[in-house]
Amino acid sequence: MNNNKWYRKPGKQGDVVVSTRVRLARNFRDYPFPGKMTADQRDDVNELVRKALADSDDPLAAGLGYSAPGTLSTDARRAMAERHLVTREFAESGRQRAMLLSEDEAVCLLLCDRDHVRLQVMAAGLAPEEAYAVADRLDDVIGRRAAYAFDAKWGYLTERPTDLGTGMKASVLLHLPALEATGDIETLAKAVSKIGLSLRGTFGEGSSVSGSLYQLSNQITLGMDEAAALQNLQAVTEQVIEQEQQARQNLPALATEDAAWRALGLLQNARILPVREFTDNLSRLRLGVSMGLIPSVSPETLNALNAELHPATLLLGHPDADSTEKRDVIRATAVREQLG
Amino acid sequence: MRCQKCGKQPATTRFKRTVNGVTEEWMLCDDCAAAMGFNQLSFFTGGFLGSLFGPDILEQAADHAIRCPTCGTSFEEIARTGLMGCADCYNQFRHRLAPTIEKLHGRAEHVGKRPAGAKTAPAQAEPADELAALRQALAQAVEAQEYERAATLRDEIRAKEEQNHEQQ
Repeated sequence: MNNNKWYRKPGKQGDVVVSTRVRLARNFRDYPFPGKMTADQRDDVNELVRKALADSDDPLAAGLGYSAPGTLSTDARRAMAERHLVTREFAESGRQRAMLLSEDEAVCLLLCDRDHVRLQVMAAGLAPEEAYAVADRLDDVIGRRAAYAFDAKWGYLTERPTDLGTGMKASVLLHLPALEATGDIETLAKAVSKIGLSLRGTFGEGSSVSGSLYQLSNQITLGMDEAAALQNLQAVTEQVIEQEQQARQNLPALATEDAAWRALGLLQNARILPVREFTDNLSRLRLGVSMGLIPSVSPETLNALNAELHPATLLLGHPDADSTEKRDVIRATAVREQLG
Repeated sequence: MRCQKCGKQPATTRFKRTVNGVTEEWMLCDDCAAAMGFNQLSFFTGGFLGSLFGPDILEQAADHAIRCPTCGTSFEEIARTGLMGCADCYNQFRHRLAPTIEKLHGRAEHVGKRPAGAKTAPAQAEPADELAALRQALAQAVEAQEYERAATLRDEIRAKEEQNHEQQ
């Protein structure tokens, strides 16, 4: 994997906030929504968006790489889902869609799937306004080329009425091991739901939350403008960070330090590393690193490991890793290399 | 009540449809509903919107097979799948969609970004927009526990409401 990926950059509040994501849903006025499109109409819209971006003076827009429908394998799509570029549901669905991706993978556009355009921008750490600014810019590039479906009362019109209004979903990925340990996640989830946000565990296999990672996102798209929704997310995230940091101070210090060093020892020495053991130990190590207990490891290294060593992403770099056993060995090797 | 098809299992799904002016109605169990292609999941739980519409609206939808002139999608289909056919569906079915959209989003109107060149709201809507903005600011002030600001905003809203009332 390249070193220029967005998740290898340091981010604000990186001790708790892994990443920020902003997504805009947009549709064109003169085409039916994706569920009702003909193949020709899909081709037209794909081409319209691709050209709008490619012809732009904006280097970011012009530099996006286009993949035509059907060119991405299921494994490639699963790998993108592991890196939060597309949903798991999309990866498994077999739906063939056109996509645009920036080289650093911070910007991803999915075309003619749930809406004509799903524009997503990722950033390291807590950066909702920064990520939105990029999304807003690209949105304007596309919107100048063709008229969006828009209603004065209901805002941007979407295939599902749930997304009406700004069509914007903003979320942050949070590492909350201490709040998880104290059993406060559920209370927190209830509290944030009352103010229009949702807190959910991510990447759980079955119902278990993997690596103490949680997603906090805005739920209100109609009646609250983008700036207010982003400020709301930012403010609530800051409060969650404070609570998590407080809870971390109350954890038994020696046990936390011990667990972090043991995790580092295991990750540095394992020859076979199943994904669950990997995420659990990465989480323990991350806690130690963010509390300043293990200065030799940077949070960016942990983000990179987390982004690149899940099964499908691993398979992309190692086409011969066609079994869980082989991947567990490759994962162990990669982790040893990166953690010295 | 037992399923009207198999007569064995309890009926869980009411299905009503009008074909060529003839209305048929069944109470079905899960299995028979699925066997007849009326997958209960897509009707009531899978389709988020479908579940919000509820049986009354679904019935109403089945009785009036009005279609969107632009894309041909019927309201029954929208109610069943939770998916709109095209942007014009929102206009065509505006009054029927309004209660459901209100359930989803509250009595809110769009604020925020508009596409370049999009028509601004009609002139008479302006005071309402201004009020909506003030109410939003009030909600935020309360949220942030800025009660002095909230009190000022509340007075402003009252004054505006009275002013609108007098104008009417």
